[in-house]
Amino acid sequence: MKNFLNPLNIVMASLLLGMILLYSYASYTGWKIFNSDEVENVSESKGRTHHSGGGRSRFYHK
Amino acid sequence: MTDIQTTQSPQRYEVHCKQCSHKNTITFGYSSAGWVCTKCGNYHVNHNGLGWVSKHTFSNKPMPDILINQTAKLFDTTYTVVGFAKHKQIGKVYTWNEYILFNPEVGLRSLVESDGHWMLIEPISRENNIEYKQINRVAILDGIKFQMYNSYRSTVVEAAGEFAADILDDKEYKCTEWIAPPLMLIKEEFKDEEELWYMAREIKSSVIKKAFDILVMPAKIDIGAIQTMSFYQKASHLLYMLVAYVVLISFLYAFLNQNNIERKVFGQTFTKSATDTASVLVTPPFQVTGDPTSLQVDVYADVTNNWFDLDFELVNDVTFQRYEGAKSIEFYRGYDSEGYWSEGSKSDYIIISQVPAGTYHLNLYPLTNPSLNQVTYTIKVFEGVSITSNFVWLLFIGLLLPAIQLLRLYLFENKRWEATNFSRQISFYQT
Repeated sequence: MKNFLNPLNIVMASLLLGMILLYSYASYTGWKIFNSDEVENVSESKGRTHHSGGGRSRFYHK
Repeated sequence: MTDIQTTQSPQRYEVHCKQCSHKNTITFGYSSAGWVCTKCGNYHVNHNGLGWVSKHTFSNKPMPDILINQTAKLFDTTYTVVGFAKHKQIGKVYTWNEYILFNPEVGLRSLVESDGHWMLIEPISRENNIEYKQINRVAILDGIKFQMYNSYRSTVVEAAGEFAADILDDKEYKCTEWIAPPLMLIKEEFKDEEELWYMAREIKSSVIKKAFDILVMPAKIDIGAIQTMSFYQKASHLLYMLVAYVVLISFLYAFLNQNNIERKVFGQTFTKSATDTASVLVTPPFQVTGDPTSLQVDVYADVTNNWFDLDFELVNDVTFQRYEGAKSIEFYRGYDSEGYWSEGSKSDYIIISQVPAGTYHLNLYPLTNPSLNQVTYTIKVFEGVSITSNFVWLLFIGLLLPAIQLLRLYLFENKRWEATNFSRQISFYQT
């Protein structure tokens, strides 16, 4: 481990440590970091409990 | 006409060419072993301090990059260029340029340019401390392992200025080089006399360009013998970090999974018939206790050779915060000439991130093929689900950076060792 503490190693080790902390935070808060699911938080339009139904294109499915 | 005359301070010596009688000025007088006439290129050697003897005539071509008597500051020492020699490896086509530098306090140094790569060479007197392992061709000095990189004899094909040793005796030298970039250990063996050892270190061409005010630097070819890689990190350090990262994040993943409590908060089966005209179906309320937590919505639809789409809203009954989602289920199967086949699945799931605690309900908007009489589907909601994709992605991204650095280092070292007939004795990850 001689001469380990050089700027590039410190930067890389910090990045890796940051990713471990990010993983811990995401796990404890139930955060899916790379969310490819079709979910949208629409909290800004409070009080709306109905919508007209999406996915119309699926009517033309196969 | 005498062979040598002292001139003004700082002390310089005037000497006259034996061939063209041109008057030359040299720095060391009879301490020099030889000098080259600036006019005709005739090389004179010191005749036991009694006079100069013409030995050879060089082509007297212009010097490539740096001129005699030019001064420059390198590593806080100001040097004057007193000599230049172009060397050629005997039996090969390789050539390199050597500039002899002088500083009154530190003495002589060599500045060598080879294929656009520069190094400064100084003599060392540590031969007794050099441990040399013949078996694996490794020399150790002050704990640093140097790998044998080259061994050759050379001759001088062009020269200018003056020299402390007879440059045309080079044929008698055998030179061996060991490298530990950015350092090079050099041994010169002169017949049966003592060995001379030198230490070279890399100098960036940008430093030389600035120090000597060179407009156009010689182009770099391939990787230099002791060139260091840009953004260099030791392979062993990269491996330490890589292993530590994998162990830490895997341990964390296992620990969190083991302590994770996944709980079903809702589950119900519905039937949508062709006669059902209601576009929305509102579920009973359910409690989410994690704060915040991940929710997994499982969708199962009993469809075969058909499809089922579900748009939904997860609505907080107090704050009306909504999360909109959609999932498409399709499942097809049949037989063809190769037998049974199937495509798609009757179930799927969707993750909703960071849902605060509270009472929620689902608004469901099911759609299916209008030709279907009815379809049965089941919705289940779980809280506190483990998100494996976070682990997989962060593991991959974390490995990427050290892996790229290791690959760069591996390719760089391979390229370096392609230039020599010697094989690498220490693996690249030990460097």
